[in-house]
Amino acid sequence: MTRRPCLAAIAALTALAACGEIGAPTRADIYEWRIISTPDTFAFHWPREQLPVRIWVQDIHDLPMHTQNAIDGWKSGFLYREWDAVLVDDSLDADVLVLSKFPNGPTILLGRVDACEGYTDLDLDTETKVLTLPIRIYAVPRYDPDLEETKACFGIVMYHEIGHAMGIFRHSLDPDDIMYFNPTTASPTRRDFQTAEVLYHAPATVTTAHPGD
Amino acid sequence: MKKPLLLLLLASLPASAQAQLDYYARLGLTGSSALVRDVLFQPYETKQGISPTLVAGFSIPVGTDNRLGIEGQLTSGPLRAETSGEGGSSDADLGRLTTFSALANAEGTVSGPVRWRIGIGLIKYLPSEEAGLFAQGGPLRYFVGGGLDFRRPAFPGWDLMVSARYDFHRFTTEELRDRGFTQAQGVQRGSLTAGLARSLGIAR
Repeated sequence: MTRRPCLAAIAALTALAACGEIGAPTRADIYEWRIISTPDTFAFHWPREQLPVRIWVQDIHDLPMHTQNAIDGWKSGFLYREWDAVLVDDSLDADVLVLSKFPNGPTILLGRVDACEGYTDLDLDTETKVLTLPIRIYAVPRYDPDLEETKACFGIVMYHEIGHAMGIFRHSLDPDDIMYFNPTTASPTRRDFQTAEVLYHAPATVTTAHPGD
Repeated sequence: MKKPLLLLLLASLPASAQAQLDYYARLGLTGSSALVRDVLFQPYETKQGISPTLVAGFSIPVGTDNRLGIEGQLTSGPLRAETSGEGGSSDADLGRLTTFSALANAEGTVSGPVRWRIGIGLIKYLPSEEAGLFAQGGPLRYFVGGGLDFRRPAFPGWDLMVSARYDFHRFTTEELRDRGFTQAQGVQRGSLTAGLARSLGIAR
């Protein structure tokens, strides 16, 4: 082999190296996730140093399984491990509590599916923009909890409420999305995932604190 | 292109093929350019850090001075997503990434103990977990590569071999395509390795 083909190959390599960048998607198909109360905007996402988020779940109505499915599902929407969560045994050690009862007082976020209801209670100080942990999620059946439709409902509701606990503090206006106030889809849509992805890179204005901090 | 090269290898085998076999193994480091460049409020870059590399290969003579061979390379190291800008900087650990590549190559003499090597091959990505950009598995891509080898006798029957390699391929995954990423990222890798080589039956 002479050196001419070798030089030609090197030239071809250089030409190849010079071309080609991957094209990133615009991620423009999203919905509003922040609470906007003029002039304040309340935007929250878990900082990387607080991951994984610790979630304690009351062991009833298969809620631990539904919660774990929701964690796994939402995690799969991220490219760069922006969010993660684990189930913990001790409720005193948790950032998020999942309970099967009605909340004591008014809650900020309500999700309702035909056979069950879910609520997410955020202890958010609008003056200091501090979210006091734990976030409380309530999931309650409206009919017999052993009915198949109630079980399926808990699956949907846990996806929805974990979405709130991740930082999606608003509802989608599209009935196809899991974050619609009355969701019917079984898992997040591409729009849900893109919204979560974008919110984890947008500036957060809300910080967290534990009681007594 | 790989098939004709293999046919050429087989056709060139002399009757005493084993007597002219050249084989080697080397250890070293490989660096890579970004696998993915993304923009999420600010630029994001996913790349594999400088990673330990094991190379092994063999070749057989073709003509008076040239050889044809196969070279395998195993590289394993951390995969990280880095961002920096007005919104701050962060560095996310995305687990471990292993790549295995096989290069069908031709080689010849540049000058004295320095030889060139160039070829085409396949590279397989083997992530430690199927998540993120590898949620649907690691891709298999073709690549072109080449480099220089320096050899000098070190022990009886063994040569010291120091090699520099460069290769280029275009990277994307099923997951990235599903998420709306278009085209593919040009990825360049460079490695520096050192090891031992042995020639069986070649008169020196």
